[in-house]
Amino acid sequence: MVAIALTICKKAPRAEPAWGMRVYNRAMQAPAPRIPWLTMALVAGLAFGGGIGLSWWQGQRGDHAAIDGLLWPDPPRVPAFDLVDQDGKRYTLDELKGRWTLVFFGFTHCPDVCPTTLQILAQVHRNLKNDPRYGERGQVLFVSLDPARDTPAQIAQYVHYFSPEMRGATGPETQLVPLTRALGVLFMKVAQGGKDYTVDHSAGIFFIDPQARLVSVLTPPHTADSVIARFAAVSAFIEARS
Amino acid sequence: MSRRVARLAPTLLGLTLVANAASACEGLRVERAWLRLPPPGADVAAAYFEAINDGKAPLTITGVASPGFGGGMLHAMALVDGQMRMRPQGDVVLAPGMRFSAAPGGSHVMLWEAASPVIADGDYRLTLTCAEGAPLTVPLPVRREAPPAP
Repeated sequence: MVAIALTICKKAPRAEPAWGMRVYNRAMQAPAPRIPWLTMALVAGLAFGGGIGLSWWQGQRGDHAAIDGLLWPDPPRVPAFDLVDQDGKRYTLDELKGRWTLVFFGFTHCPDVCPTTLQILAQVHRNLKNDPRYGERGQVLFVSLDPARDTPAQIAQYVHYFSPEMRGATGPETQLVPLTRALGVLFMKVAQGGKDYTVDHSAGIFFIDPQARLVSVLTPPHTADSVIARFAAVSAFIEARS
Repeated sequence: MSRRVARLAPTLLGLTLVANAASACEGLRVERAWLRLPPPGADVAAAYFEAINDGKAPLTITGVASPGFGGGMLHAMALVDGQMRMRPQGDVVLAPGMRFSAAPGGSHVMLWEAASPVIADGDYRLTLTCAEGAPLTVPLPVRREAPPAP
């Protein structure tokens, strides 16, 4: 598990330490048992059961977005969901199958992070079109976590501002909550006085592979180059394994 | 003169500022101010700037505003467990020689209740209120993305 994360992180030209490394370090820095064999058992446990352990650990933390560049040995599958896209049409799990999808969760009344990230994703989409792994079937998806204010029409004009090909979707909380929970996306409405509210949300870019599995999460700050480099590393790795 | 302007600031801002700029926010220099063209439908806008204290005394930025918007506030973005949280920044205290930078993905001026939708070639201004001296107003050009690094 850790080895996989490290391998991929080495491939991706990024300066910051990979999160897989940090998880590993954190586990190793846990209060050390005095008995050597127990240490050995822990190390062995980490080596063989690391995937399960990390999944459990992340489950406890509830936010996969903190993992940068981590590749799951058995990537979580995106569960079935039923959203509405920017044209008012159903947007379901089928839309993810057979194509690479880069997803960002946010809301249109978000002044800074959302436009900044979507602008980057639009550029990534333009650049990746020449990549055979992404090609014509790759997509960039914006999921609004604010269905009360973000109607399909609102989402349509919003995403099309960034790219005519960007997809947008939202749905009732009964759909958004299980989906975001499965992907480890946190979001929370925060009152700002009066009727106004903002939405705290994960700022990661979520990579979903053609088998509709969450294979990587890229944490901010994002640049188009870092997203493209990560896509190249992740998609090459997934392709080599399958 | 500058005190009177300060007192009347809310109504005078945007009309008379340039004349008073010399003594405004004593020692504060503002660079790279820009207003992000909001995507259609967004009812909030973000503006960015860099402020440098060229003076010899500490300087405190206490507020931000832009004529043509109902309100403005400096927001800080914090990454907490992978989640972006937007919160009021509070006062910005600049020691002499210090620089404060509001840039995409970080601190920003959030502006709301635009009197009319923001347009690309519109004439906008950013006003910084300081604990010392009169407010300082600078032009706020509209851009789709950040100006290139200096």
